[in-house]
Amino acid sequence: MDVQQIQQILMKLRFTSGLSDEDQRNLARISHAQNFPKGATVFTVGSDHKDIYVIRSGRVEICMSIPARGCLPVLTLEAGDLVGWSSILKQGEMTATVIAVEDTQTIAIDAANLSELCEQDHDIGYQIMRRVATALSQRLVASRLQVLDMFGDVNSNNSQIGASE
Amino acid sequence: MNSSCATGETSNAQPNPWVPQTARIREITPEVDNVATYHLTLVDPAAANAYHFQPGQFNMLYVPGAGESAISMSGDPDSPETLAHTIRLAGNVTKSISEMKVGDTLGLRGPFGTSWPLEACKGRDVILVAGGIGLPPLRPLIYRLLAERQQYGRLHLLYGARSPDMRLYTAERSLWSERGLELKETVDRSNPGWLGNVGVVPLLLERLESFEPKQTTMMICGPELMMRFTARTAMQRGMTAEQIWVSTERNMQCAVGLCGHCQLGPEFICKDGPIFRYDQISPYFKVEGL
Repeated sequence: MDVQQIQQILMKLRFTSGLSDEDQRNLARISHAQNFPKGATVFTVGSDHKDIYVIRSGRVEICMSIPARGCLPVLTLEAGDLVGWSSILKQGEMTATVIAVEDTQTIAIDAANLSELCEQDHDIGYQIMRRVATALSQRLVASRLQVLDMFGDVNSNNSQIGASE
Repeated sequence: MNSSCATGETSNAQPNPWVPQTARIREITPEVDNVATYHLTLVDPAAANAYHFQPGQFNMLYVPGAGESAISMSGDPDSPETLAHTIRLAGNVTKSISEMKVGDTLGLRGPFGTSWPLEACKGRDVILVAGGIGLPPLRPLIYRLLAERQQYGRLHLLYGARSPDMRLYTAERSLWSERGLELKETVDRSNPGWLGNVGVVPLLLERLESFEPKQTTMMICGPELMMRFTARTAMQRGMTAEQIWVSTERNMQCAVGLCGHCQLGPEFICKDGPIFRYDQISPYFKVEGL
């Protein structure tokens, strides 16, 4: 897949849509298409991974390993979502394992080259980091709601008009 | 009622709202752990004939010795001869109901409250968002939307449950899909073998494609926090609060707006609600202690 084809794909994906033509072209130059068949591991917790991914189609799950309980899915991601934010933030090892639960197509972006691009061109750096921050804030809010176990609450006054379980 | 408040559509309650009618349990459908659907029939034929409800309305179910509880209707509004209530065991009244058998009787007052704004949806796309036991109050609306399918644009149901084994009406969903309801679901906690989505329900809305915010009406039912964050996501995607409707819940007692137990700001949830337009009710959601 050449740069122009990757750019066409990036224009349509939620994470990268809205970037200028030039920014998308620069991004396409450091990207390549990568597919993961159902069941394939995208990366594992603790690994040092060089790419971040934007999902084109299919679905992956983020799993956290717990001793004696295995790798438990905590979130699924699908078309338009960012996978592997640790790499771009240079946070060292990956914080979770990601597995394809369906045949999944991605655009893989070299994280080191992306960091360099952001350092050299602060305009694209701002746009990329704003998108990363948005994705992380959505996951933070989602994690808070999961922790609250909303659907486990029992309303002691019995009424069940809409909310209580 | 606050005259400025946009609430759902209202229809008449029974002639004397204080007097419970005797209802017999005709059938019990176990749904998931601690949740079952009770199909009731009013014993008095005249009362049964006169009974009609609109999607979103509720009944007060009365068990002598245990008390009374507000429960939304979960059945087809166009088949009111059987009144379905999907009930989760949550307190004294629902515990008493859970111990009843087919043929037992209980008291029923209703229907009460406002209904989902179907007229405002005609010609538009509709997104229903349900969380947990918030799906039953939307089910009558689903029946009505599908019965009048050609009058609406795209129909979506986004459903979030606590875990895969707590998903409601799984057997019925394929029928809804066949008739034109696009369903996406997610669970907060995965079970072994679950290959569906994991994550909270606002994320489904975040990822929804083919979404025309200005052409859409959204109706949400679930825990208040879930409704707030779903509405927030909808507005981030370009909808306005005036396009969003929610089903609210407080401590219902009299069901006719006299006792004040269910008051939320200036509104009586039992009488002015439970269905409200989001811009009118959301300020009170953020007040601690209300």
